[in-house]
Amino acid sequence: MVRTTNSKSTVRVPATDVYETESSYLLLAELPGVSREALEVDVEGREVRIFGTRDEQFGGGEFRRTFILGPGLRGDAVEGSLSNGVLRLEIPKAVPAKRRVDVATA
Amino acid sequence: MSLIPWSNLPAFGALLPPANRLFNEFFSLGSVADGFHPALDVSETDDAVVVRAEVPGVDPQEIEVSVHGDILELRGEKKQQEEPKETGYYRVERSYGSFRRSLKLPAKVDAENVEAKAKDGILTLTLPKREDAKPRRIKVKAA
Repeated sequence: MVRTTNSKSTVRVPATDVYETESSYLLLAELPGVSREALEVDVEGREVRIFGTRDEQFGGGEFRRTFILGPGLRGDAVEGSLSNGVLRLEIPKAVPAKRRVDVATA
Repeated sequence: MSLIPWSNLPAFGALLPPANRLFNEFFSLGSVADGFHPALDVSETDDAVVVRAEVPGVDPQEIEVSVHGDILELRGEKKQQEEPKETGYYRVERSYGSFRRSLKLPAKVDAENVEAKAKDGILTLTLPKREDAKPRRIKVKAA
């Protein structure tokens, strides 16, 4: 990695893949050199924010990225895991409430 | 001893315009179009050459490290782990594929005693220098 003199003051943007599955959206963000302790993920309203600081031994530096959740996604049920420098967030889709309608005959 | 200039290393971001590279270097965002190339940091102490490779999402067991003389080579493959079956991708920014990077080490190393550790998507190689490559301190005698 080549660093520029001003790199410490630059907020980096982690490369992220976004997939849709039947029941959820998956976010896979690359965070090489970021430990669990240095990573923050929070959800506020419709925003999911990933931010933190890379370990100093790997050059340090801040990173941040925000994703906006569309309607129909459950921000209250986001689950995350970090493995081999990749953060995986699973955001479940809201299941529309289903109601059987009794149709009366005349 | 100086490090190898980046321009001599194969296929690292050479296709990207400079502004793009500055923006993308940190998390290798820019190499989507031309496959995956782990970013490397090389540093040197009196006793060892330390190489750090960014390999997020790569199983460390599947990285092959070899030393031939003063050439270090890293080989492996970054696989896409999620296989969305019924729906699909919204955004693919990460890059995947097999990679092979080699670089000339700045000193002769003891290939038998290379230490490799992986943590948080970074592979750290510590290559001890051979005795004859270590700096020697010379005492200056007062006349």
